[in-house]
Amino acid sequence: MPSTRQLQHVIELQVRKQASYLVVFTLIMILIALGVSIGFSYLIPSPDKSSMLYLATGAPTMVLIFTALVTVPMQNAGARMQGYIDFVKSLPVSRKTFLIADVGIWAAITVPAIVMSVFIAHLIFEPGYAISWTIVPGFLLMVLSCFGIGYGYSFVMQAELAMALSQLIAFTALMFSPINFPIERLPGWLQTVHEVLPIYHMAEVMRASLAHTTFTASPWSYAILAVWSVLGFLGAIRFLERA
Amino acid sequence: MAVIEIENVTKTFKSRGRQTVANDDVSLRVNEGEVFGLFGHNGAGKTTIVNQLLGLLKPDKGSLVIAGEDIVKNPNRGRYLCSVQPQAKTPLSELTPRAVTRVMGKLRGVSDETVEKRTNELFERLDIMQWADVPGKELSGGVTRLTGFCMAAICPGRAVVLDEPTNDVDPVRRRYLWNAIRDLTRDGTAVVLVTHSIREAESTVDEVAVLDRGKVLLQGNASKIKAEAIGNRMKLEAVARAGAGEIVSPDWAESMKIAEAELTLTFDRGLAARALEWASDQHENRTIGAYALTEITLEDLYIDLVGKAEETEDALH
Ligand SMILES: Nc1ncnc2c1ncn2[C@@H]1O[C@H](COP(=O)(O)OP(=O)(O)O)[C@@H](O)[C@H]1O
Ligand SMILES: [Mg+2]
Repeated sequence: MPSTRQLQHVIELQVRKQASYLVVFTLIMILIALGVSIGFSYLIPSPDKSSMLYLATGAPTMVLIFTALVTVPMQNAGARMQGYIDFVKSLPVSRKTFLIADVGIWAAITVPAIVMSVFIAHLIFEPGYAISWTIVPGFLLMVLSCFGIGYGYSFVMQAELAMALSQLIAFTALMFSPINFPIERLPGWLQTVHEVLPIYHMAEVMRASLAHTTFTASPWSYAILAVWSVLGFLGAIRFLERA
Repeated sequence: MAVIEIENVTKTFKSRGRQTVANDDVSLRVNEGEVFGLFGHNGAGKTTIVNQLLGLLKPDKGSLVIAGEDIVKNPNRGRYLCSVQPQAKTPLSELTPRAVTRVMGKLRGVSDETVEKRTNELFERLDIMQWADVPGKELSGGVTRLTGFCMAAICPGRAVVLDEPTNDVDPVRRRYLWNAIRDLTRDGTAVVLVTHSIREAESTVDEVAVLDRGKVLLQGNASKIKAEAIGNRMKLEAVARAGAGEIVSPDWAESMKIAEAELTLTFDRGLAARALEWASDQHENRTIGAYALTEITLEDLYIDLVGKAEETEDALH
């Protein structure tokens, strides 16, 4: 296990490197989360309780996806192109420490947006939240899987390609992913695709944790997220440890 | 005692079907408390050596040992045993020189007090205190480079590797930097100074190795090499105004060369007065322009050697 002191120093390095950006990003994520849970409701002619609940429980998932699968990979690809990752690799710390520190910082940044959006949506609509204890392990699993994939692909792929992919994910996650609506509305083949991809399962786990009286997630969703976590982090670590 | 031992290291890069032999059977030894100059022009293979010491690249063949530890077997140890100023400037973004230097010191396990004291010492030494708290993205290239030096020098450990530390640095601060580099050796730290600016570095180094196209062309004690190869000779350099045929080599000169409108005359130190007199005459006759009498440097030797190496190579093809 990396020493906690080393971990503290790497966190200090990473936070100070982009302190004002991190603050701005936190604010933007709060806006996006509120936009999804409140703003989207205006797009639906006469939203019933159930579609409101879909939006309200989808917003936190959107925050995680925008952070871990879009923004962080873009940052990583940029850092690679600028040579910052080479610098990180030459630091006298274990590279796992770096990964833990960086994931920790970005995961922490999603928390205000998630909490605010749930809280405000509850005040305005009372869509029927029922928060279960599974939110804690569920959130950890979601963080691990989406950050694992985000770090994994932005390190394993060519930097320019990773940038392009991050944009593609932003678009498809927003438009064609069963985060804010039931998966049954998608054509059959797309449903099958989402059965293997992590996005749908993240949304399922998030819903089951935030409104456990209305939704349940199958154990399958947890298992698939676990597999993606392992794959993603193995890829990221392999890249960082490569001589 | 040797801190760094590199033996028969060969490293080849393959990219897009092309092969580059970046290091060709390189062997070097760097001892405690000495400044070791690793010289060579662009593409000679210097940075490739640095990256192998850090464990960022694996050699095809050969061994690298730092403070008795085998870096080829344990590539992860390299970056703990050596502190390094990389050739590529680190993008600091919002990090200030003080903040990043401090973190580097703490990562190497130095106490907060010592880090504070040493950071101030280094910044004062290099005269960059006025930028200590300016975010990296607003710093000039030279100050960023000097910050890179401070990051490596804050807690140097057994060995420090400096890859082109003087690039972008102004002439006044360059002098401060040379002194700061010498200071590092005081407690026995071994310093590897990697640079293409051979001339300005040669008075700072104890030992040298000159790389050319991956091979070690010349290696040994800097003053010894100079004494042997240069001996008691000096040179006169001048802008040649007339063509090669119009300037006659004086009989007391050892050699005369005119290339790219630059004349170089070498001769024994005892003939310096005579050489100046000759130059003054030539200047009056307008066959040469500005002239100067100078010492023969390691760089001159290097250029000669590279020229010869190229000739042999051409002869082989
Ligand atoms: N990652 C790489 N891939 C392919 N060729 C490389 C790579 N790194 C260096 N080279 C080549 O190896 C040679 C030596 O490079 P380098 O060690 O950077 O030289 P120096 O630092 O002396 O200027 C050069 O010809 C360079 O183009
Ligand atoms: Mg180089």
